Amino acid sequence: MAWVAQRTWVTAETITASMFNVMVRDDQRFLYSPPHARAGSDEGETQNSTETIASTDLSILEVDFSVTTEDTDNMREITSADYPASIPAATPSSRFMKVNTAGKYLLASSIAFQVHADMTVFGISIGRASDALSIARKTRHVTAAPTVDEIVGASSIWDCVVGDLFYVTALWRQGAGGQTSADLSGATLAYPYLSAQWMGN
Amino acid sequence: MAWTTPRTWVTGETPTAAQFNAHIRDNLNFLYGAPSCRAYHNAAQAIVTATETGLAFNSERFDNDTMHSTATNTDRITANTAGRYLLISNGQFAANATGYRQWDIAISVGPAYVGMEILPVVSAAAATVMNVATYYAAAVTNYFYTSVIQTSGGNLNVDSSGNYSPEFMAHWMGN
Repeated sequence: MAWVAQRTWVTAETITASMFNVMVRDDQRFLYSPPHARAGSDEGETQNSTETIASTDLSILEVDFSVTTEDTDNMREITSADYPASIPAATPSSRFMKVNTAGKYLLASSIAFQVHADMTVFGISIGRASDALSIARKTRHVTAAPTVDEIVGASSIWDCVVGDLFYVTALWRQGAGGQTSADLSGATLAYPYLSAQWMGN
Repeated sequence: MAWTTPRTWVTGETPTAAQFNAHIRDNLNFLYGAPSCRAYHNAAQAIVTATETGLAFNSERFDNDTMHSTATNTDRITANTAGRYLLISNGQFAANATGYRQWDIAISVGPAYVGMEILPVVSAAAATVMNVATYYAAAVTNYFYTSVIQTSGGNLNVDSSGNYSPEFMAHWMGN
């Protein structure tokens, strides 16, 4: 249900049920349950990347969200026709969240690295497909021999237009000559996830 | 546009257009366009070692409630509407392997930290990027700001990097 711009009431006019249903009922319903969506992965699903990038460069893996757990505005109904020219048509649509109702959105994401001994830094970026710029980013340094998955998350408020596509990138760097690949763990609801919530216009 | 406390309608009264406009149109418009602000800085800022430093934000992405100025006290996001705010601050220290990095969101009342992140650093090859989110109540004229600390032993920049560093944002969530 879309927001309808509020009308200005006029002295002496006859108010109809239709006016009330649109201006009072429907607009309140919109605000009570605004557009939102959340996507994640199956329990135990892992994603991995094999890289041959020098330790001085930042490795990346675009995160896939194979499971949609909530979607009230068809934000996960995406085809390659929605991609900007910079995104290859073969790119899986499951990587993206699409804005169908303009406004300010809270975007949040979290991923879990299977940190290996050669990894020196790992992080996350939420990016906008139209210009490939991060709208939220976070990194962490590996300070001790890793024994458990390391989770990193970021969030942001962004003023979105209809058609904006957002995606998540895992970032990491390894020491010279070290293992270049990275694996991401999956646990339903916890990580990885990407969520978007309409906050206002 | 400010919130007007909704009136209680009375049996037998004749509602006026002015009442409808204030209590229906304007209040719904307020909720639809709740106060929201995102500011950023378009140049690097040098941070002196071991010195808590407030960050400036000389530019804006959006501000629908005059919460931020790009000219005066640019470090502040001021609550012109009382309520509870979601606050997020994101930014990057230049690469350096020494010490720790601290990124805070604070409120003018106190002053007091309302959100904080502290990270040790070990790699000289990678910048340290921090992202803090919190939720706090503010009265009118209270303001929030971002302050940082780094202990590299020398000056270290908070980089300007689009569209995540440094960026400071606030959104009214309710009263």
